[in-house]
Amino acid sequence: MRINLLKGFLLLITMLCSGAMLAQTTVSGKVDSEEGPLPGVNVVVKGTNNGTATDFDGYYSIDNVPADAVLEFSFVGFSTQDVPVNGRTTIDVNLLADAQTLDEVVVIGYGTVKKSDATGAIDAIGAKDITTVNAANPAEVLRGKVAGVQITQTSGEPGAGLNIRVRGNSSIRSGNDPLIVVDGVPLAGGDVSAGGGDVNGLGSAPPRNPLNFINQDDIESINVLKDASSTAIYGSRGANGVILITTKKGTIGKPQFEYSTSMGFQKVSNPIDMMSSEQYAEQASLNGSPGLDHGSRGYDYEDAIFRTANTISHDLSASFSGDDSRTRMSFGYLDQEGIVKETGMQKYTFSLNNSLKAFNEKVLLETNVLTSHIADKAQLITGGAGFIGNLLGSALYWNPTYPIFNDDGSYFVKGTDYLNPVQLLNSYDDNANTTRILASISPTVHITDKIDYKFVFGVDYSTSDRASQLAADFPLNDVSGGTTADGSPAGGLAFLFDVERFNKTFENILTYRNDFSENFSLNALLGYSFYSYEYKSNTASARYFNVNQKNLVDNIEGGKNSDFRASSLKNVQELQSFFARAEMTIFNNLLVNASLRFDGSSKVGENETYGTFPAVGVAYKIFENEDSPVNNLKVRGNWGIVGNQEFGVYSSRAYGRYNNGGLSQAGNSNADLKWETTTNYGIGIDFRLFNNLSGSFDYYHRITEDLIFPQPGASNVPNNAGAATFVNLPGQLKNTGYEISLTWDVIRNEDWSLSLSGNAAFLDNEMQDFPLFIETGGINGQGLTGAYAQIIADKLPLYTYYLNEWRGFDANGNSIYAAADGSDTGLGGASKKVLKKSGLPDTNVGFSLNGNWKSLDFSAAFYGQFGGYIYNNTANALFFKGSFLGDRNVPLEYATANQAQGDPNSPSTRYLESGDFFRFANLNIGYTINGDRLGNYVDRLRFQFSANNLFVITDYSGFDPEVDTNKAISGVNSAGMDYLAYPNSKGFTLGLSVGF
Amino acid sequence: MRLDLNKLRNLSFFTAGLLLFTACTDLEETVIDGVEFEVANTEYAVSNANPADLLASAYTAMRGPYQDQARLFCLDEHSTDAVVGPTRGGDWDDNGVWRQLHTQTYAPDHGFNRDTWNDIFSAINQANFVLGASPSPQQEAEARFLRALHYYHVIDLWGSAPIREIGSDPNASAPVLTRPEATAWVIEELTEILGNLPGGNDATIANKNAAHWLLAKMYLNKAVFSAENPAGPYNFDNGDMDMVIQHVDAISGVSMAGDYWDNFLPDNTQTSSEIIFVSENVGGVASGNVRSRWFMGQHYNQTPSGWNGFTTLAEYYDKFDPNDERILKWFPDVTEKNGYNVGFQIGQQYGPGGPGVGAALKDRPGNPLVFTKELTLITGGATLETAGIRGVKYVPDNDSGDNADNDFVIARYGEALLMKAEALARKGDLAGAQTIVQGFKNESSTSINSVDDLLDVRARELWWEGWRRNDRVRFGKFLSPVQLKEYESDPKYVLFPIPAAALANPNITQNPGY
Repeated sequence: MRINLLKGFLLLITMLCSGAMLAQTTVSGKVDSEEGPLPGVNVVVKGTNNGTATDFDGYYSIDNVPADAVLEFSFVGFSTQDVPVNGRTTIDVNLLADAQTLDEVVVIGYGTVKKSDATGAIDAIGAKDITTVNAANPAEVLRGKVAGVQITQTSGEPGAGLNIRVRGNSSIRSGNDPLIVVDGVPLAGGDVSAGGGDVNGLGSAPPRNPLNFINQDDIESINVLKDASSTAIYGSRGANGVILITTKKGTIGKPQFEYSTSMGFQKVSNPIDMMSSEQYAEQASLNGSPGLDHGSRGYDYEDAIFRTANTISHDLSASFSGDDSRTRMSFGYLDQEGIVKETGMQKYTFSLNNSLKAFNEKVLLETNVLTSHIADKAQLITGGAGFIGNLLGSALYWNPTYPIFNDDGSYFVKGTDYLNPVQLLNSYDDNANTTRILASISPTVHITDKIDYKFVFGVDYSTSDRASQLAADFPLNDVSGGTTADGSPAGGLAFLFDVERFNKTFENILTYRNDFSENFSLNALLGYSFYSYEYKSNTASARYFNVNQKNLVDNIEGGKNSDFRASSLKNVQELQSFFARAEMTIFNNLLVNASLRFDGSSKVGENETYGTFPAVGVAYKIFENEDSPVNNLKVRGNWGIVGNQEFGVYSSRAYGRYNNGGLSQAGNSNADLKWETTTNYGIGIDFRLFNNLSGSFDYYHRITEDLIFPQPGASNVPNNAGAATFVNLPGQLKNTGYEISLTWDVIRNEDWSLSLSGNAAFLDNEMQDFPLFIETGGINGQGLTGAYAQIIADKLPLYTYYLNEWRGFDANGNSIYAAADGSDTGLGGASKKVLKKSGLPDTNVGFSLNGNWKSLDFSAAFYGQFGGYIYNNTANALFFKGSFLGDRNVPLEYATANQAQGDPNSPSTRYLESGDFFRFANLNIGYTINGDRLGNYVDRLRFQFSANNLFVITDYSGFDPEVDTNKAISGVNSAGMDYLAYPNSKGFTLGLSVGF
Repeated sequence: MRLDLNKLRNLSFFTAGLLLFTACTDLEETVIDGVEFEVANTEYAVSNANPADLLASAYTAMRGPYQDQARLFCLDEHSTDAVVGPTRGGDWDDNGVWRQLHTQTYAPDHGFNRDTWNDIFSAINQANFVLGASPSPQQEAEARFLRALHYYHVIDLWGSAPIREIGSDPNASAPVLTRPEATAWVIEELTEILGNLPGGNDATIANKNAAHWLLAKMYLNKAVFSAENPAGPYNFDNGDMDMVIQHVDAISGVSMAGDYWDNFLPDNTQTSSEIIFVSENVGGVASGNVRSRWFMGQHYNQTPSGWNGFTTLAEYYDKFDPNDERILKWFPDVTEKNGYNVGFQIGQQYGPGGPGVGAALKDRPGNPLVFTKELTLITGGATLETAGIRGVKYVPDNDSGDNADNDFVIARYGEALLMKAEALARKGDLAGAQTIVQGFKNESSTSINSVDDLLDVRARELWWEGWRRNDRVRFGKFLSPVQLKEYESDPKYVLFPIPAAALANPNITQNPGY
């Protein structure tokens, strides 16, 4: 392999030396369509990376154009035109509307390619699709739009994390999030914001979304690389797919300013129907326990903790250019309240993009700066709450016949393990501030007209601090009722947590392009990268503050000496890579793309420092732009090996940490620890029929091997994370699936356009030859210690449910379960079964409609998931007869159920529900007024109305079937668990934007 | 092609840049926030860590497995007639883990079986690091004692024992010793280190007395550990029994405590003359979960609010005279602050102040808080919260918050003497055994007419101290019916299953039947 690579390098170097220079010039002009000037049209010197885009008025200017070059004009929804320059300096073009989406230029790793020339499975979302979705987070834009990309919201909290899965899960323990590359800088995985501490059994804060720092209005395009032939150029980080985000650049021509603002209103969607005080009182008496009615009336949990949340945003951008430079600056402000009181996010973003040509236009210097400051305000709504519940739990279980306030205005206190939700809401404060700067500077040197050298230096710095406290006078088990050192009453908890990350990226890329002949062209690339990721965090916590102290977090030394805890950690990871790629076009219709990357990491074992990640993609265009029923037909095939870098630092090191004076072992060494690798192959077809129906079909097959796992049980090697030997397990994780996407241009004329798009993805996964039986999907709540719902085991899909089968109640109200032999039995004889049900859906569909009538545009998006099952841990923990008769509220059907008071809420299929749903996710209606009607200063005016989450069709009884509370056990994540997650919202937004 | 000087200059600038950043890194990972152990190609050959620091952590690593109620305690006591964790409506179902222990229906996915395995091997590993760090002879002996103690539990609970020797290939799967091989190995280890262990009776460190005690324990159980069939029959060898006697007799400087409860006070190690070895706790600072020994059974409405969990069984309680001080003791301080007796609690319970002073407590639905002998595995009705006799094994430390001061007793002289009595009895010297037994308070009139009579003596003296399973196995009673498990269990349950995840080591085979 090494020798072959060397030969390849030599060949490349030989090629590099054969370039020659020709006279070059600047070409400018205007691009029009039937509807007027076209902004945003891609103008590229064919066969090169040299390109630009038209401005708002359709003007463009492009430098370094050889006199004999061909300019390629492309834009979504229009036929691409190739225009030979023939020595001209002004070229005006009229593009024909055509919805020719196959000819989009898509961003790939370290370059771009025409979608029609792509050999892999790549999906692109353009700015237009991004701005029409009212989302606080760029990743949400992908939801339902890209076949094979599943976005699951883990929480409805503003800024909360999303699970993004590209073609399913490729790992058990090493992370399944795709690599995100912003303007050529690959981001490190993991959370940049400070999480919360576990507040005495009430759970800790869930992670935040890693893409929060980007303002959606700054995004030009999002491209998703799904197959290995596309992602293998990112080698050890490509196994989970790659999402490439390109920010907007300055436009050429007169300075342009755009201001947009929006205002939105959100409320909780699908609240769980709990009993009212009247219903509770009635059921208490019907159940022979009138004593459960404590007399108060009017409590409604929704009023207690939810609200109509307002969202306001302001965005201002300026774009201008000089002779040699283009600049775009933007400022964004978003104030998003959460639907739970006292929660929300304020986000400030500033971005700067500049490109500068210097030294006789031989050097292009690009600068990108994205900065953000996010202030999060959270409440105690967390995934790991026990019997006491969190804010949501206590609001649900609060007996509605208890008052919230006593007559004297003080809080009514029921007990230290039975929390007053309003008191909890007002006694808990949790504020996090996260500042992040992602800056890159990248000079490109045009060494010859065929050879470019590009250097990228990127810095990603973030700092986040979180301060949370539970008031000193709040009654809570193990927190209140203490004393200070001098014996005064004390309580409360304070928690400080800060995280600092400093990541550096260095990329060196040499590209070579040559059209050797009509029948052979080559685009080759050689690169070297170095990444350094530094992570640092500190925490401090204290308990037992004098009850008179109000502000705990800013005066934490008020806590009791003996109950102080602090911790700190710091680590640096390094990654070094060598990579090469060749893209060849043979006889105009055979496209070959081969890449090879060597990745070295400090995290793998000493003997396995470097991994080799090769890939090949081949595409054959059977028809291209034919004037026949079949306009385009391309078949694609790809094969590649990719890795997964998202496993813990020090995984292969033996080390210890001092703890309370002693030195404790924290990790064992394994010099042979190697990357988890995923071998992929896939085939695909892209087609366009009858000039109006385009689409693609993909089949893929992925095998992940060498799964990294803390070595269980070999002697002297404990299984608990943090003090284990990490090993590569035998066995494989297999994913197979297929994806279909279709776009139909129903109508397209001067006044009307309408297109319908749909996509569907089907995915199966299974463990093969896997020696272990791994538990995950931990179930929380009283009497549920150590309970779990899911397993990962041989010959089973990931996250298969393993539960007692519940069959109803017997005459005495005791649950009937299935025994091992299938007969009916009581709880004592119940036997857990491996169910043919998994937490992962196997079918994802998306459907959208886009169109316009004159200046009115509209779009609608729907999506759904099928085949997955949800374990309703919320119901398991809180909803059963004993809970009702134990003075807690439940939904009516649990109060009226024929269940005995003493029948335990043992985990079973009683709480396993289908997670199928279909959602009307988004409706947008916009009206745009163009320059001619607006006088001299205003170019464009747009009004937009959008509604989100208009309805969801589902049988699921919890808040929302689109849920994924991470109930990991020993670092093994779960899927499809629902436990007291922050509910999703629905609402609408009104927007206005003005272009100057 | 015309050469442009400007271009050349720029080129050289960027080439320099390229070289600057292309200087390859060796990708050596540096442990910044800890101590990287400089291991060569041999595991545990740690050259840069202070062995004293590692040893300190080897001691604290015992707190989890030995003190927590959901580790050794639950495997050793719930699986017998001494403890049961009844399911109380929505409380203590825990997906059946407690019921499975008592009804002897555990399987390889049993969570606390797995956690105990992990914690024990974690402690073993910590001891091994001491051995790899060039310890002094005494440090080495202490670490090897701790390791031997942990392996006693591995052999006792799971049979075969994966043992990775210092200096073995760190990346090979650990070799596994059979149960008899591991037993011989532990005895050999203890015999070798005896000379280097400190004398005296500081029970917080491994000492000579502790090693003699553990050797006696190993010889006493050797017949069990080397039986062809783990469920018996066991052929006790007189030579082994002589070794038991010899090692118990070698224990010096300790004596029976004046008061049984001295062993379980917050300052027990300082007060009691009987304690041989403990897992040490530092009150208010750092402790294991010894407080579970009074929280786990106490009702929510008792003080402090407990967990309303585990109980003993009537047939176990009935082995005692109800007034036996070992299960009924009123400490004025505890009565005042907690309102209850230590030992077993039965009948009406009271708030701080105790009977006649404190309030007669009620359960949460309002029924009188009366702990009863009547008990079902899944409670219900009016006695949902109150069924079952509760136990308080350690005298509550009301002054140290979450970090109770009571050291957790692993070995005490009384237990060693009962081992000697049993060894004598197994050799046929029932009179000698009876003499020892009658030296115990509240056993002065106990007669020993057969070896089996000693099982109840141990049940009384050592209640909830973690020996019940081991004793019942050795006396051939472990699988017999007990209250709330009214059947003879399948012989496979005499050993716990190897946790499912541990089978990743191909050298380990699952215990027969699982």
